[in-house]
Amino acid sequence: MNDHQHPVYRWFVAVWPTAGLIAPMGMLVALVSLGNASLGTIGTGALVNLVMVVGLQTFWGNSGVLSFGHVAFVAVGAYSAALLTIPVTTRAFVLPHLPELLANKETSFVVATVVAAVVAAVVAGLVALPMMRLSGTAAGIASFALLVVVQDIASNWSSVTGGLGTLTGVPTDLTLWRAYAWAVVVIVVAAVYSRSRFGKRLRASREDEVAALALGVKVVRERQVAFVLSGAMMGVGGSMYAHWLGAFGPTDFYIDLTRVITVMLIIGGLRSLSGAVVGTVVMSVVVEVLNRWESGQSVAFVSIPVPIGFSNLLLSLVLVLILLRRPEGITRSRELSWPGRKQDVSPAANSVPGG
Amino acid sequence: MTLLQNIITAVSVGGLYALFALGIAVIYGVAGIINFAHGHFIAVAAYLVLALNDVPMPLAVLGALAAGVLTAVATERGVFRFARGADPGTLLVLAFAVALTIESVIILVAGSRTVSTSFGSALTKPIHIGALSIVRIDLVTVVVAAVLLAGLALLLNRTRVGGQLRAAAEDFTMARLVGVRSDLVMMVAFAVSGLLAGAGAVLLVARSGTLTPTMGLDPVLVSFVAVVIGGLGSLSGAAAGAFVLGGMTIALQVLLPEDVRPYRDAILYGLVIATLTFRPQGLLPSANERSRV
Repeated sequence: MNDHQHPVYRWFVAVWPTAGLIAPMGMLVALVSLGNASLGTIGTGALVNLVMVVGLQTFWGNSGVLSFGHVAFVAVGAYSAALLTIPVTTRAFVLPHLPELLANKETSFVVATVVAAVVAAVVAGLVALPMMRLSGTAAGIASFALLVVVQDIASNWSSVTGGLGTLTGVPTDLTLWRAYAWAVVVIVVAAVYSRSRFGKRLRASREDEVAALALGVKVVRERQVAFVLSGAMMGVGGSMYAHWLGAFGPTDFYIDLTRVITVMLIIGGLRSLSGAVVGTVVMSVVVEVLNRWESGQSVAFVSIPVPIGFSNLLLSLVLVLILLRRPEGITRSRELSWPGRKQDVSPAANSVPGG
Repeated sequence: MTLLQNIITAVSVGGLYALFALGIAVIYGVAGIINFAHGHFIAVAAYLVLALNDVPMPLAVLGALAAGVLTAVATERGVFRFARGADPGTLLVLAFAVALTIESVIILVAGSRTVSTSFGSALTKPIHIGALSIVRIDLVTVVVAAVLLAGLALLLNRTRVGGQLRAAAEDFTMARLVGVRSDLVMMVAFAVSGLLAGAGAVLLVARSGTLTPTMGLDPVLVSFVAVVIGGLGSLSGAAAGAFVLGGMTIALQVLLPEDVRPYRDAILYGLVIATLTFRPQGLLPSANERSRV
């Protein structure tokens, strides 16, 4: 392996897994941008989902602590960003009882997205203080509880969120390429984190919590770091969601969205960034094709009559099968590796059913 | 008199929660699965009540109970049996996936829109006893819950399979070693859970008269809370937790100031997170829950 220690080679090996995800995605985006406007909107939506799935993977995948509550931070991000970019005149109309502080500031999409990330990170940091002490079943239930709490607040804090109704007037200026740019930023951040000492310590605790503790890893602290970072990513996803659709309500950020991003992540492969990306891309394409068949359109000159609602059933069954037969997902939760280089990731024993 | 009336409402709400919470606790105790799909067992049974609208009421109730039991047992035979011994996270996600599958089937068969039925509408009228005005369904709920809880207690404490079930809930591996048939016990646990889901579904439909494919979600979230309060894995704890929760729900509803009242659920679930943080094994943990190094 001595020839393989050359700095340039090592640099290539380091950036390859990330570049190998971003570049083909860029080509896919270029292809989609050639299509009609509705295809572009769908592609943008897929990239919004991608940001959320990568955010979820950053915490769940690296820590092994399950979370069904991450969509709460998407909600925080969406409302934070919307309160900055809805034009002030429109805002006076859709949210007449808004506190003075929030009523008169208008920023660009980019600034609003950064603010959304910061606000979501702060909320995640506060939640992380108690919640990161939990793991397993307790963590799962607590994360559900978090989802319900944020949902309840968003539905009832009418002066700021507009209550249960739809909040309208967000400028729809998230183009396909802008969405791609944000997705690249989030993927790079996730990759850098995952390769950093923080990411490595957290994964060590995922594989064997007791051994990691014995080696001096502060498990709770490492989980908090990942939770805050992934909260920020979910905040970015929320801002993108708001500027993709231009209108949203609290119920957008509940069980349905949780299901979508959870399915994407698990089908792709929970434990790797490649899994998050591949899962999102594959699922977005499959869902879109099934949706078109359901509505009687043809895809690539092929038209298969599918009864309405059938695609959801198919996807749920696939999820059950993947969990039973291949719980590491379609990528087997490996990262892309430099051709010919040996994989250094061994599957975790405790995730195999029946093990 | 309003106090007495509130107490009756609280007991009725608590009784309904107890049926759901026990359905979750019995599966968690034996199989270690936080069964997210329990709400969808409820939904299947409820839709059967809707489908049997024209047959006599006792038959419709029987049909709903059978639907609950069959769905639960089919889930065990078809899915969870192949994942026995997987880690809790995988099992929870698997339960989530099962829930989505059942939901898709319901949508495929009955559509996703809210539907309503007149089943049990006679029960929503109040009866008057002196100054008290009690909705009949509240009384029915209290009676049904009492009967089912007593029946479950008899099953667990007086029958052979009940003893095996308690042994398996205590220590599954040890129970197998001393000759408890794991497949049988697992199936009984799911059947009991399905029966409780069916009974809860009938009461829920009679109460609200409306059905949606996700109608079981809220009851299940509430029961998670009850199970957590009572201590994961403890059956009597789950029932107690449900009644505490029923009381708390009504108390918060009555006592919270007007402008905070909409946030009742946020406060309730915030308390759940706090409880879990300080007592991750619940308030009344069962003895074997702590894993040792």
